[in-house]
Order: sequence, then structure tokens, then C-alpha cells
Amino acid sequence: MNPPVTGHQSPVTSSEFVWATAQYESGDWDSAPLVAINLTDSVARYTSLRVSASPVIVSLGSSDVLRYPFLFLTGHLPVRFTEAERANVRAFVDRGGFLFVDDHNHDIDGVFHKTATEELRRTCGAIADLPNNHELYSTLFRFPDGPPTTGHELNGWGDNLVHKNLQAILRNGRVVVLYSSKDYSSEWSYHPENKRFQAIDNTRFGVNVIVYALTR
Amino acid sequence: MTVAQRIEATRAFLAVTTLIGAAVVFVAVRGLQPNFGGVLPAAAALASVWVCRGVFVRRDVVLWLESRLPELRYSLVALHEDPKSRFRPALEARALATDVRRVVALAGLRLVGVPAAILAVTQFAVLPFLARSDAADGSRTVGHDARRGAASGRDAFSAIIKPPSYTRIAIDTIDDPTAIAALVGSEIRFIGAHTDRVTMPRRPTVLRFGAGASERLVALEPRADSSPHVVLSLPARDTVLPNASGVLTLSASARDDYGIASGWFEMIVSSGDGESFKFRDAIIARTAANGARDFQLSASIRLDTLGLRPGDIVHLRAVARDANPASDAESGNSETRTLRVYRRGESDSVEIEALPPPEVGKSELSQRMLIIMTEKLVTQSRSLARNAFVTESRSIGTEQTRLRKRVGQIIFTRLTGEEADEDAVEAMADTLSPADALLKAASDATGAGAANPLEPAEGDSPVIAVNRPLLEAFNAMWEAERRLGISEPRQALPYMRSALAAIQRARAAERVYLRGRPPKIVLDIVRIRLSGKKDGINPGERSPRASAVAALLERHARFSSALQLLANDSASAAIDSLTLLRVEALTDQPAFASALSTAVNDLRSGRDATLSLGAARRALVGLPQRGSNSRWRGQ
Repeated sequence: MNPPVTGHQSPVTSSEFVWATAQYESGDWDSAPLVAINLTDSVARYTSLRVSASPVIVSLGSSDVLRYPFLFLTGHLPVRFTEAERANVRAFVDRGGFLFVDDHNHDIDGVFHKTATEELRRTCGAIADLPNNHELYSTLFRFPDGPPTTGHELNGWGDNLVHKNLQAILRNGRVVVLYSSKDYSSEWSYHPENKRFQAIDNTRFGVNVIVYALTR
Repeated sequence: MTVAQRIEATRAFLAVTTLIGAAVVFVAVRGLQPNFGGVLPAAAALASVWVCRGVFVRRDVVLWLESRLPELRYSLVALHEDPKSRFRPALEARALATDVRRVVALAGLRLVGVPAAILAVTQFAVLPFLARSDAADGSRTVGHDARRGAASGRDAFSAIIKPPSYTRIAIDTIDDPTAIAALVGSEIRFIGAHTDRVTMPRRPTVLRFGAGASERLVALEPRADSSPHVVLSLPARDTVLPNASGVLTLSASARDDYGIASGWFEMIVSSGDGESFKFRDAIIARTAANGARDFQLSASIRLDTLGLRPGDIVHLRAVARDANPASDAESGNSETRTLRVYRRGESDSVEIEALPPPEVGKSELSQRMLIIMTEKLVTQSRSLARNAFVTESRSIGTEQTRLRKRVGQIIFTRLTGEEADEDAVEAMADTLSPADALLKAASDATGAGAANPLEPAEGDSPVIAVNRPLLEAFNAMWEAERRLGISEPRQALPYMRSALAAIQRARAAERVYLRGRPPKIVLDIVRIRLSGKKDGINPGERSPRASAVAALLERHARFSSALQLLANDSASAAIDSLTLLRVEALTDQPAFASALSTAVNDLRSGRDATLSLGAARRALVGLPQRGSNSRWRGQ
């Protein structure tokens, strides 16, 4: 596989799932570089979805975002969209896209959380806690207690909290923006071959999110 | 009190009561005639002040007192006209001997009471009477344009719309309303055949007045107050600074539809890299705009006062807020500019392969996870069988033991700089209290005596000081492990939490992350396809997704039904149906709603609505398209 390519260079066909990492101007959007390839690997390992081996990086300021059904956005620094980014995110969500935002700071008192939630509310509407019995937690694997905890939560980094819920923005009952304060960016940013060292693959929830985004 | 002071006090009292009376007159007239704004009420208030203007003139007040109190025998007038009169002592004695308080109080009461009575009469008699007469003769009698417009008949009514006060928009009146478009929060008062008072909601809605054949629908179409539009003109673009010095000029402009309350600059300084960032934020140059529609904001920052270091990033934006008092009113923000301080060597990168995670057999559950498991066990204690409870408690205790040993190894290694001998630590722990054992080990290793295990001692080496919280954690884990071993998880929890708190204190050590260019990873999709463990795959039922087409078809069917009503000469029912449809379409199909508005107005005014209804249908379903299987191939 080649390293991630930018959206406009994407060689993939529209019938394949392509992991798209959102590139935004205000922050360190590339803070978890291995998440893309690791989750792509997981989708192939656990599902029969057609998946591209080449994740892409797509600029939120470009209308290329509308070519992908799923976008992943993470970082530590402030998230403040430009007008073009805001318009594209709004169009992406309006047209049925799924935006997964993860706070790499794992800190609800940090600037990523404060600025990202403000931007998402302004762009896509009110954000609220997602109940732990939501369909998202049983799309493929079952997570009866809601979102799985991460190592950063259990070790007390960031805000030193184990977050009970994810948050979401819904349209017609469907999740269109999923927001996590749990730092899955750190949890999933490792070489996919290292899954063999784990008793339980911790990317399984990520597979659920992707399957939900593509099939619901 | 001298005579002069008494006259001045009387004059002041009468003047104040006159002004209060004028204010009451203003309120009374405004209630009676709301659609004139403040002009007529202000004129009435000024007239009442003019009538009583004598209270502001000292000579008039003196003459008024003389006329009301004959017993003064012109003593006040004489003193007023000739203060140096040789009869002054006698005149003052007479003036002071006369009690003016009752007369003045009655006058004050009259000055306030009469306007208050007028207010009461207008509120409780005139307005209800006018409303009733409206209903009776079909003409609106309240308001300047009472006899104007199309309102007629027994069902005539009007809506008086008062926008939120911060907008400073005049009150408006709509006769015979079918739809009212106004700002969210506007007060709407209906008078005439139907009386009601509502506040414009946030979502479109329909009000129903009356019942049966005489039912009237009024659509409420909220208009949101848009947030200010803010443009940050300086700094004009993102910048990398070679060093953090000099003066940075900030400039922004803001514009709002009704007026801006205040504006300011927001600054966030982020320091750090990798996974470790710290942030500072500040508000700069908060300035009141006093309701101006266009507003300029400027400030300057001396960069050397920010304490910026290489690699720090300054995020700047301008913010303006309008005068909308609603708690959820959005402020307007400019785009964010970032200024980064150049870090020497930032272009370098080192490629570092990530280490694999530890082997499963050697990994320990974290203290926080153990606490969660124990809390879960405690909550399940009543429902679990005794054997299962004991087994689970011991299992958690075993994990606690493993974690304690790991902490012991860390302490030992940090004290001695050597790999800990697990057996040696365990052997010592068997004979001494855990902390003592470790301190003894530390003592043996470092040659420093282990005097008082957990009490801070002067002269502690930094290594001992740093490890003290870990020693506390070790000790607490030991006790928790003992409690879990005898199936007392509830009693173990306080010790486990103490251990966690101690670990958190100990993690003051700097976190170091090595970061470089990520390795190039090649995925062989065919090889890994479906190779994952299938354990836990148990997909739930898939809920059907709402069909957007179905909603459109349902709306189209309702539109057709309304047209059918028109064809059946049920124009009134058709108008109501179209009004309801319009309110529902306002949020998701504004073009269709707008076209429907024109059609409804045409129908209500008796004009030919063919074109407007056609436009509404096109807005709903789009232009007619030639189907692929159509026989028609016209050019």
C-alpha cells in the first residue's frame, strides 16, 4: 500500500470503502497517523465490505469531502473551521455523510473539546449524549455497556475521567456526527500487525462505527 | 426648616409627582394606541406636564399655596417679593405657623392619581370595550388604521406585533392575518373577533382560532436573529514568526442586522507537541458597541509579553455579540489566524518504529480498571451466588497482587537503577510491612537509612521523594489485596482508591513521546480478509431507515388533496390545508413554502391562483422530465 494520498488523487472506485482523514486548517489533524491504516485493516479482517487498502487525507476546505461517506477528524489543537470548511461539513452531513470526531487530548476541559463541540453545534446542530443502548453498539460486535473504555481513560490521562457516553448529532434518527472524548486516536494508532498481541482487538468498536456509517 | 426651604421642598415634591403622572399618562396612551410607537404617548405626557407647568416655577407655587391656605394672609407672597422686608420676622412666624402638608399631599395624590385612574380605565374598560365592539361591528376600532384594510365581517381580527425591545423596531399591525412572519420572541397580540397573546416560537407553527366552520388558521413564521458577521482583517494571514517579539496589530470589523452589543478578540496560546499540550486563553480589548450596526475593533499585543517559546502557536479570532438577550444566542466569529513561533530543527524528523505492546501474559490491569471491576462486584453482591462472589473477589485480588508487584519493581528500579528481583521483593514483603520492606530495599541499595516509612523527612533524596507516592500506593494495594482475598471487596475499595490517588500523584514525571514519520504500511487485503476472531460478532437488528422519498410523496399527496378541495369549491378548506402544508415545509423546503405563500394570498384575495399553484407544484416536485419509457419524443 502507498502512504495516504490526498483526496483529489484518490484512485479508488466509488463502491469501495475508503477511510478518509479530515484535514482542517486550524489544528494538528495528523496527530494519529496510524489510525487510518489500522481501522482499514480491521474492516477487512472482520467484514466482507469492499475496502480500499489506501486511506486518504481529504481537505475539509475541498468539495472532495463529498466523495467519501465517512470522515475521521482528530487532533489536540483548536478546531475552528474556515467558511469553506464549515460549508463543506454542513453539506457532507446534509447529504448523509458520517463524521467521526475524536478528542486526542482526552480532556473535556481542553481546547479541542471546547472548540470542536462549538464548531459542530454551529455547523450541524445540537450535540447530545448518545444512549449506550444505541444501535451503534450492536451493529456488528455487541457493546452492552456502551463505548469501550480506552487505556488513556483507565490510566487517568487527560481529564482523568472515564466517559460513560459518546455524543452525537442525529438527523432523522440517524447519527451523522459522532463525537468521542475517549481518545480512540491514541488507542487505535498502532501498526495493524500488533493486533496479534492483543487478547481482544480494541479496534472492534471502530469497525462497528464504520459498519453503522455505511449501512444505516 | 426656613420658609424658603419649605417652598423649595413643596416645589420639588409637586414637580416629581407631575413627572410621575406624565409617565403614567404615557403608559396609558401607549396601551390604547400601540401601533403609533412612542409618538402619541410622548405627546400626551408632554401635554400633561405642560398643563401642570406651574409646579416648576417658585412664584406660581407660592401663589398656589396662598390660594389654598387663606390663613397665610399673603405672608409667603410678601416674603417672596421682598425677602428683606422689615416685617420679615412676623411674616416668617405666620408662614411657619401654617401647616401646608395636607394641601401638598392632596395635590400630589391628584397629580399621580388622575393619570393612574386614566390608565385603569383604559386597561379595564376601554380596551375590552373596543375589542367587543370590534367583534360586534366587524371593524377594528383599535389602532390608527382601524377602518382600513380588508378586515370586515364578524370574524375580523388583527394582530399587533411587538418585536423584542433590543431590535428597536416599531410595533406593527396586520389586519386579518393568515401568516405572521416576525422575529423569534416577538409578542403578538390578537384583538377583534379572536383575542389571544402569544410569543413567536422558534419553530413554525399554526394557531387555530374558533371552531367548526368559522375556524381560522394563522401561521407563525419565526425569523431568526442572525449572529453578527465578523471579519478579521489584521493579521491578514497565518504566519510563522522567527522569534516572539514586536507588536502585533489586530483589527476586525463586525456587522449585524439589528445592532452589536460588544466585540472582542479571543486568543489561545498552545504550547507543546506530540501528545502533550498546554493551553492559555485570553480575551483582548472587549469593547461595547452600544447597538451599532457596523463596528470596528482594534487592539495591539506586544508579543514579548506573552512569554512565547519556540513551537508555541497563537490562535486569534475576533468575536462580536449582538444585543439579543437569549441565552442561546450565537455570537459571531471571524476566521481564526494562527501565528507559530519557529522552532529550530522542526524540519528534522526521525523515523522510529513503534514498539509492540507487552505480551498478554505480562500485562497488568490498571488500578482504575480494578476499581471498576470491584465496584461492579459490590453492586452485584446480592444477586451473585456466594461461590461466584468469592471467586470473583479473589480473582480481582490476584490482579491487584500482580499490579502491586509491578509497582514494587518500578520503585525498586527507580531507587537502585537496577532491574528488580521479584522474588527478593516478595521475600522481604513476607517479613516486613510492605512499605518498610521496600524502603529497606531502597536503603540497602542506596546506603541511606529508611527511618520513617511514609512521613516526609528532611534531607530525603529526590529519588526517595519522587517514589514516596508510589510507596503509599504499594501499601494501599497490599491492604486492598488482603481484603479482596477474604471476599470483602467493599472494604477493599477505599484502599484501592487511595492507591489510585497515590499513583496519580506519582505521575508528575514528564511524559515523553517519540514521534516521527509513520512507517509505510502495506495492507494485503486478500490475505487478511475475514481473518479476525469471530468472537463477539453478534449484529443486532437493523432498524429501517426513513425514506426521504416517502415523505416527499406524502407531501405531494396532501398538496393534490388541497387542490381537489379547490375543485370542489371548498376554497376555505383548501386555504387551511395549504397553510398547514406551508408551515411544515418552512424548515426543509423553503422554496415550496414561499410559493405556497403566494398561492394562499392569491386565493384569499380572490385572485386567479393558477400560476402560483403551478409554481408551488414545481417547487415541490421539480420541473417535468421526460421519462425513458415515454412514447413522446417531441423535439
